[in-house]
Amino acid sequence: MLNLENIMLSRGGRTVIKDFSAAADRGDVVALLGPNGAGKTTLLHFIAGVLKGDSGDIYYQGNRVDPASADWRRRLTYVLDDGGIIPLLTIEEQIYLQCVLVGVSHTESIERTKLVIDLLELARYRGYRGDELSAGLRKRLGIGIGIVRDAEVFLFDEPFSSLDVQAMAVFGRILMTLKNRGRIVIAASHSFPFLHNLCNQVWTLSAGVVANQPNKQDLHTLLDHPFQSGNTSIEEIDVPWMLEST
Amino acid sequence: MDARINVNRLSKALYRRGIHRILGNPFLGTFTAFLIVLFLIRIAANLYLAINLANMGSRIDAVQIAGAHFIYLSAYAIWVGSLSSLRISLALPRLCFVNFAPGGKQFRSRFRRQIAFRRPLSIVALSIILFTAIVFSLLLGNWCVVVVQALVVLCSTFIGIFVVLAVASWSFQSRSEIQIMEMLYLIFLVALNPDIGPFNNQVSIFFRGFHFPFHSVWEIGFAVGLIVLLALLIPILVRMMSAMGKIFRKKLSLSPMERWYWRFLRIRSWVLLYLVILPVLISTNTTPGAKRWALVLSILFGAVSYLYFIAQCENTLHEKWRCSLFDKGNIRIITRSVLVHIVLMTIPILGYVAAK
Repeated sequence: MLNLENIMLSRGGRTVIKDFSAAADRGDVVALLGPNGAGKTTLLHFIAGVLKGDSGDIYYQGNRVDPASADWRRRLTYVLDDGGIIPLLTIEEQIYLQCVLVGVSHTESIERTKLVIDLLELARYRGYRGDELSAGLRKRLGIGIGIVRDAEVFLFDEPFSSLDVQAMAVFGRILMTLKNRGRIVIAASHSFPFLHNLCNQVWTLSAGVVANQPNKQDLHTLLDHPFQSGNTSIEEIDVPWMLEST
Repeated sequence: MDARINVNRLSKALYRRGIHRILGNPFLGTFTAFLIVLFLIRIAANLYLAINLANMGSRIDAVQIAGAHFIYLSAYAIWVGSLSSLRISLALPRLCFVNFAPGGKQFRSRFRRQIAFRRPLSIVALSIILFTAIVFSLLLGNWCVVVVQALVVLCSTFIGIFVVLAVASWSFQSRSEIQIMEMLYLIFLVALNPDIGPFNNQVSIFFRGFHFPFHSVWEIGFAVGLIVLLALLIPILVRMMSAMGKIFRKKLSLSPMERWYWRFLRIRSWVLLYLVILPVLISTNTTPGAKRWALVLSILFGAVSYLYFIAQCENTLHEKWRCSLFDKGNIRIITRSVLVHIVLMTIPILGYVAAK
């Protein structure tokens, strides 16, 4: 069981998250929702030990966790928004490196690298370096690096952004696997319609205030938003400096 | 997939690609390469001259010449080499998947160690040290002194590199910042202009016309220590200035216009000017002519800096807000900038007057 208790986080002198408490159990897929700037990435950074919090604690299986500790790094994997890749290494080098860094043997690492490359349909680009990849391929690689190792807690920051439909479907299958195998998944996303079938918890953040576990009405409002359902007639915005071309 | 792949090979590949994919501005990279060539030509010419003069029967202060070259190469390794290895270390981003892997910290430090051992004392610098040590040992007829000198310099240079790397990685954030520092240190090194000349009936090395006795191990150790201190001075200053800037901005809660103004003013370049000019003005060894030149140069720098500032303001105002610096309401920028530049300029002038 993962417990976050009274977390308070600031960035650049501004309080981003105030008094946030939440819990997730094995097999939980948590959708972390909130508008831009609400503090989703900040919260994930805190859980992963990238940022220090002002106050609050993380407990895992009843024990207090130091997010920067090596023990926590063994239990957690974090896929950053930009994939968190190394620009000068190739796709297969990066996946292999991740395996070795988590203590997988050489032969097993090569096996796993092949498997993940095939799963995420990266075979055509296996020799490409990180800085030669498009945003979508970087995200796929980031996910590949994240799942090539086993962990107890998986953090994903905007996993659906830049992915094409096929890759989204693959990622959905990955989430289902993690869920069925009892891992804790926290995914910060704006693409709730993709997540809502898989997640069994929703944490929402809004401008520093936490509306933890939103009620059904809120979620329906979110799901029924014309942009989410796709049933919308799109209106123009008022931009007087953009004149109609003649 | 290549079955010979392993962590060590990946770390080496990252290092190799980090060098080739110029991690910085190509123009600055080219200029730095040009300065390195000048630096190498200077050393080669001096060694060639010293060996020729020795063959013609002149008395050579071999220990001093060898020591001066060791120190010169040590300064290169500590100043330029550490900074360039810091720049290459950015090939492994500060935040990437390596941060979240249990073996990530070890991999990062292995990569840094690898660069620190290879880059600053590159094969060229090491070969020159070895060549100098062998040739001057032969000229002297005694290998002990020169070889001990070389070993002392090598050991203290390695320690210096690690100290500078630790401090600089804490101070510098961007590639271009590091690259500019590399270039400035190289310009300083080339400007030191080590030259062969007579001293006490012996052929010795002079740096900008000054003779330094590099005879004892203590003198050499002291010189390397001074190089490390000088190398640390700038990162510490940069760090202090950015910390002061933060406090200053927080306390005064500057408006966007004022923040913009301070960004364009390039206060760092003024601090650098003071660091270069003030010792020249204050020093009792400097001739009045050199002091006058230093003052003229700093006034010239002030004028150029002001023109740059005004041009940047005008360009940005025009590009972003379609207005001019001379429009109504913007006069404050001109008056304030003139006042600030006058205040900044008074420091070298006061230094000159006080030294007179």
